[in-house]
Amino acid sequence: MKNNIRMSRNVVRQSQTELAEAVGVSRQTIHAIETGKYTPSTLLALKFARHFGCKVEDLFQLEETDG
Amino acid sequence: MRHNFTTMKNPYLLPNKFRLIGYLLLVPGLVAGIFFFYLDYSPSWLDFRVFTFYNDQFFGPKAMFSLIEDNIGNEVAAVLFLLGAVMIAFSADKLEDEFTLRQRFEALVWATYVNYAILLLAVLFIHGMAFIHVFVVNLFVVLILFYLRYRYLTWKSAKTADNEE
Repeated sequence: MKNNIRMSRNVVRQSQTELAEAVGVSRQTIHAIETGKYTPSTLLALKFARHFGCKVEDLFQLEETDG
Repeated sequence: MRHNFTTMKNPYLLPNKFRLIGYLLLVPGLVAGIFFFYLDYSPSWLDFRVFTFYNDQFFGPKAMFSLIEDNIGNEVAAVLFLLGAVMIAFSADKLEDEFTLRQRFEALVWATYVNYAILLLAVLFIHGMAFIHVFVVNLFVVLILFYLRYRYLTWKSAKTADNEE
């Protein structure tokens, strides 16, 4: 699964720390999500969407390899 | 900065303050374990009549569901160490979220595999009375491996995040 978290964060000019605080996780979690090492829960994905004012599908997309 | 970590809390984790309590139990338990088990120190003030489900001495009678004479040094050390180790391993971090929960899961699976690999090697290559040490060490190894692995994973992710921001 690919995501646009880093791009969305850059658009609103937020640091990883600021985004982490906004959605209630650690900065390491934001980094792991941005680098594709961790896929967030539905709850956290919805929090990202609410924070950036968009749909979850705008932030996370399935890839061919996801089956 | 105040975090409000609300996503996917783990109900099985202990509050963070239990980690300190864990160390306060584990350290004396470790020292007592060395004295009572490995140095075979059995002070008479720790001789008590205790209840046993089953007792089978090498040169003594067997007993079931009865009171027996026992030096409780080993038991005290094991209880202190086990309680301490569980509290240290399963106390929540100050920054606990769903990613750290996944790291805990990965560390626990890894520790279980390594623990049983060690046990298999011990079964194959350690024989006779020496095997009793394997049982004793095996009581604690999975907890120790889990905690070290978990700390390594959190350290690695923090280091990587620091380097790339």
